[in-house]
This record gives sequence, structure tokens and C-alpha cells, in this order.
Amino acid sequence: MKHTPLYDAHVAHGGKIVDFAGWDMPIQYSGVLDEYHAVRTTAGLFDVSHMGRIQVAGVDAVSYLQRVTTNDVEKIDPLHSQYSMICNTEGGVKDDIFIYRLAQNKFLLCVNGSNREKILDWLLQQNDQKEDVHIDDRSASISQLALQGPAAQAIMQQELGPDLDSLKPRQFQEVTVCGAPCVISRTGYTGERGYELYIPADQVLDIWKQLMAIGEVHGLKPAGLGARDLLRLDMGYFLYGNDLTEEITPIEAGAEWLVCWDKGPFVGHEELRRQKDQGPTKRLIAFELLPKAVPRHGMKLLADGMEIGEVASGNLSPILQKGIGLAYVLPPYSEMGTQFDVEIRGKHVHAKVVKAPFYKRPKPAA
Amino acid sequence: MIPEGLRYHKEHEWVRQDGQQVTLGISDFAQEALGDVVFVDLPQIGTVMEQDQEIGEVESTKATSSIYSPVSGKIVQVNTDLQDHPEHLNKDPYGQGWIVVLELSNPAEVDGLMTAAQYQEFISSQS
Repeated sequence: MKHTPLYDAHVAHGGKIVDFAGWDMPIQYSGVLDEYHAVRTTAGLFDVSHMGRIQVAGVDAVSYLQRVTTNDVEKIDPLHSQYSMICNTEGGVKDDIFIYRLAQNKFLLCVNGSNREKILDWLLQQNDQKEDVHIDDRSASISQLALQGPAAQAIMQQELGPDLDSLKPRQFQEVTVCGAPCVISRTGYTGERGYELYIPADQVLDIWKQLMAIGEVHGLKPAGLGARDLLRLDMGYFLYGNDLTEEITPIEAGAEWLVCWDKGPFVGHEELRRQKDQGPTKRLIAFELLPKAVPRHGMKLLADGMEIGEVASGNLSPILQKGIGLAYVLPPYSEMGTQFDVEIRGKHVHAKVVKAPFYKRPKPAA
Repeated sequence: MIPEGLRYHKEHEWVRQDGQQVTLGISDFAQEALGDVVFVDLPQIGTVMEQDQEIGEVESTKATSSIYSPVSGKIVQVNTDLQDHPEHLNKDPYGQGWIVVLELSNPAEVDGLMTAAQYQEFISSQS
């Protein structure tokens, strides 16, 4: 089992360790709900070093990434990032990724931990030797933290000064944090204001400890994968493996906004175009249960006496106190407000299609 | 934490006998393994249970677990406070976290359940 440089710190802080995609990672420290509420009300610090970080650089890096990703790389300004997808030739999602433009011809791809090796192989395989493109797996040398929550800015500002004010969503800057050269980006997976930090692996332990010390008065808590999953579901964010797989296309997932049709051909383009014209056979919806109950991955959706779909992700939202989820349904049942049943261990529980995000954070007081 | 005086079931429920009735809950070991409980699906008062039959469900942030009745009997009280405070199962599994009270139909079944010492041994052998 693989360990991030913070493994001992997790254990020392009471982290309950589980296997996540071959990594020993903390699912919780003080408790999933406690950590969840810390992120919604103060701040939480996540170790997300198990994710993959792959650098793509060279004169032809832009044309290469235009070909292997679905979104428009030309639209990313330097020091900005973009959410995108990598598809297979059938248009199925190989991974959902974040692309950081470090310089004109230098990018960092943040990929899912469970997909790192697969994506690295795929990127190398897609690399036409005639192109000037250098693909470099930086996952082991760069670690990654996520500092998320309403107090995240105050905690970072204490270290970095007021420069952070101007950092817009999906922007990043190169800074020195606690003496280490880092990239700090205004990104995250929780729906809260927050940051992700890319840190030299040999300095991440120091920074983690210092952030925890600075954050203590702000109510910062270390947060694990359990809280992370609940927080992302509140926002309707995808979890690869549940909501996205190689058998699901961005069109089916309702992620056509990540597909740029007029940038020229890219892997999966023809199949996606065909599916867009013909209409997909299933669509992702967000739903909530009307009585209080908890939907889970794999449960069947029923309407008009037949099976109309299946839950991809589901849980009870701690802040909404409602069962919420994402599901794939037959297209006629994907309209907003459509009602159906979720079969929960033999019981039929009423549900309806709603708009994601499920949770909207309150506007900060003026 | 395994209090003396209660009887324990292999599915990690406990019962506390009071004459012809038992109060039922889940053990500290069970709540620890479940993690934060977010919802408890409670049975109806008046339901007649067979021994080892599923009596309800506990949903945690991680997963769903069934609660089994260690004894046969009729449900005469249900802890409806758990609807608003499922966290009682985590914070006070042997007190405020009680789930139901059953009227025993075969009191001898209680004697067949594990004592605190036996349950301790059972847990040790499981892990």
C-alpha cells in the first residue's frame, strides 16, 4: 500500500486509515460529520496527495492537449486552470481532470488517484513522436493539500499577506508558503471558498503542521475522505468510478459544457458528435428523496412500473438533512421536477429530479 | 466499553432485561465500526419480531447496517428521539441511544445470549 508523506501525521492525529485506490488514506479523524461541518463553517485541511500530477510541456503541448482533452486549452490563460475530460475513442470518460497552465507551453494535469497510471500510459501512447511534447509524472515529487472553508482565506492570508485577495476562482499563483515554493490555486471539491496547494513532497509535512497551527484559532480541522465525499455530493460534483466511467460519455453525464466542438478533432470527438445529434440513451440527473431516507450507489430507480435508472452516488446531506444523489435515467425522466421511486431494500421511496448544486453556501455578510 | 449486566448478540446488539421486557440497542463496538450515524429506520410499535429477524436499519455516513432482534417479542416502545438525534447512537449507545423496548414472548432466549465477558471474547476473536 502506498503512503503519502503525511501518513504518520494522519495516524498521529487519530486518522482512521482505509485503502483508497491503493493508498492508505485517512477516511476520518475526529468524525466524518464533525469534519464536514468544520469545512462548511470554518475550515478543513485535506491531504489529496494520492491524486496524480502530470506535467505536459513542449512547443506542441497546446495542440497535443487539444487533441487528448475535450475542453478548449486555448481558453486557459497562464496562471489559470480549467476543468476538462479525457475520453477514449468511443467518447467514454477515461478521467475528469484539472489543467493548470503554468506557462505558455507548460501545463500541470491533476488527475484522479485511481486513474493516475492509466492516464499516464494513455498520455504517453497518444504522444506522436514527431511532436515536441514532454510528459512527466510529478506525482511523487509534488504533494497536494486542499484547504477549504469560509476561514481558508484568513488562514492563508496570515501566511501570505493580502496578495490572495485578487486570486479569482480557478486562478493560481506561485508563492512561498512557510518557506517552501508552492503553487496555490483557488480550486477545490467542496463548494466552499478554498485553495489547493502544490508543494514539494519533502516540505509538505512542515507546511501541513504549520497550517494546522495557524488554523487552530480559526477552527481548522484535518479532514478525511469521508467528509470530502459528502461535501462534493452536496455540490453535485462527479466522483470518478461512481458517476463517471469509461462507459459513460460527457454528453450522458450532462457535461457538454466541457466539450469544445469547434476546436478541431480530439479523441472521442466523432462518437460524441454522433451522440449529441442522435441523443444519448441515458442522462445524469440530480435528485432528492421526499421522505427522509438514504439512497446509495447501485439502487434502482422505478417509474411507470419499470426500471428507469440507477443511483450513481447517494447519501444523506448533513446540512440539508435530505437524501440526495446523482443517477442515470432514461432521457424522458430527466426533466426537472420529474418524480420517480428509489428502491431502498424493497421499499419504494419517492424522489424527484432537482437542479444541482443541492447546497448553496450563504453569501458572506457585507 | 461493554457494560456488565447486559446481554449481547452476535450482530452487536445489546438487551437489558426488566421483567418481561427488554430494552434493545447497538453496542459501543458497533457504533464505532459504523461511524457517524445519520439516520435510523425505526420499526412500528406493535410489530411482532422473531429472534434474529431484522428490526430496523442504521444509516451512517459510510454505509447501511441492519439491526437484528436478539429475542422474539412484540415492540412496545420505540425511541422516536433518534429521528432528530441519530447521533445518540454514537454518543450514548447504552443510554439515550436505545432503539426499542420489546415484550418478551420467550424469556429463555435472553439466557442464550452472550454475557459481557463472552461478548468481549467474541469481539476479540473477530478482529
